Amino acid sequence: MLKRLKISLFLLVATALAACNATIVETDCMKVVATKVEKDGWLVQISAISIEVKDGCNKVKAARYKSYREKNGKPGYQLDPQPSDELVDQKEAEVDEDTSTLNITNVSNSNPNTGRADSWQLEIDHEGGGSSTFSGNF
Amino acid sequence: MKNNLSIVPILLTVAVLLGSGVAVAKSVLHFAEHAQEQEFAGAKSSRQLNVHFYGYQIKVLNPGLNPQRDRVVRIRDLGPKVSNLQQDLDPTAAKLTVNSHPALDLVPNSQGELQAIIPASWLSLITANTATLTVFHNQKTLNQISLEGMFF
Repeated sequence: MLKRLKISLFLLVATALAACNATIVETDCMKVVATKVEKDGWLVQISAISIEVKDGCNKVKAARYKSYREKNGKPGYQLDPQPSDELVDQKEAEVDEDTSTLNITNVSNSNPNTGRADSWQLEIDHEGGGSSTFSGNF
Repeated sequence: MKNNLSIVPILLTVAVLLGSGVAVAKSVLHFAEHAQEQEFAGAKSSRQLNVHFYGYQIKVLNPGLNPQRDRVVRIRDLGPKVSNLQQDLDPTAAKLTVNSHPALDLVPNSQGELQAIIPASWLSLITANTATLTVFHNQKTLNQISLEGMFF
């Protein structure tokens, strides 16, 4: 009984501490998932941001991720109005052919040279034009 | 009769062990909950997600600021000047489904935002919670958005 109890508690704690996947946003046409999210205090590290397009929807051509420090109080990364938001890091994923899945790998809210970000933005370009932009805070 | 008597201490021992186990598990859960909310909290008053396509913002207030640890969900229109706006449609209604509970209608609050309060008792600390928000502009469905990453 004690052994089972210990195993249950171990599993409970392990589940709480383990790196997990988190859905950032899911719409009727796509799902954006952060895979293997690890948090250590304020530091957030994400193995990949995966963009999956659902059947019947326009595919994805490219995606751009930015982490930044929000300075002007306007949603999303913007240089105007002043003071400009401060870019911490950016990553881009592009594909030659339109695809249903796109990954941006090794994402973090911190950069050794530019410091720590408090916000993020993800811009997704669709096949045939048009884009979807999401932003938020860490 | 002798067999019945001899089983009583065993049952008592099992009951005590189970009771201790539940108490320990509750402590671990409480610690996990507290640690999670501390981690999320920092100096932030809310976790936000902006949908630039239609120009609205979803906000989940920091549950650490709420004694009941309920989740307060709000939606507001960002106006016509938000970056990368494609169609300026304000959110006029929204429904929120949490785990297997009946859908909640978001209702206007005093600041003109749509708001719903999810009781903390609806949320699981052991398994992943599902929180799905459907946002409407009049009869048109704007988005169906999973809120897993926002204080859930």
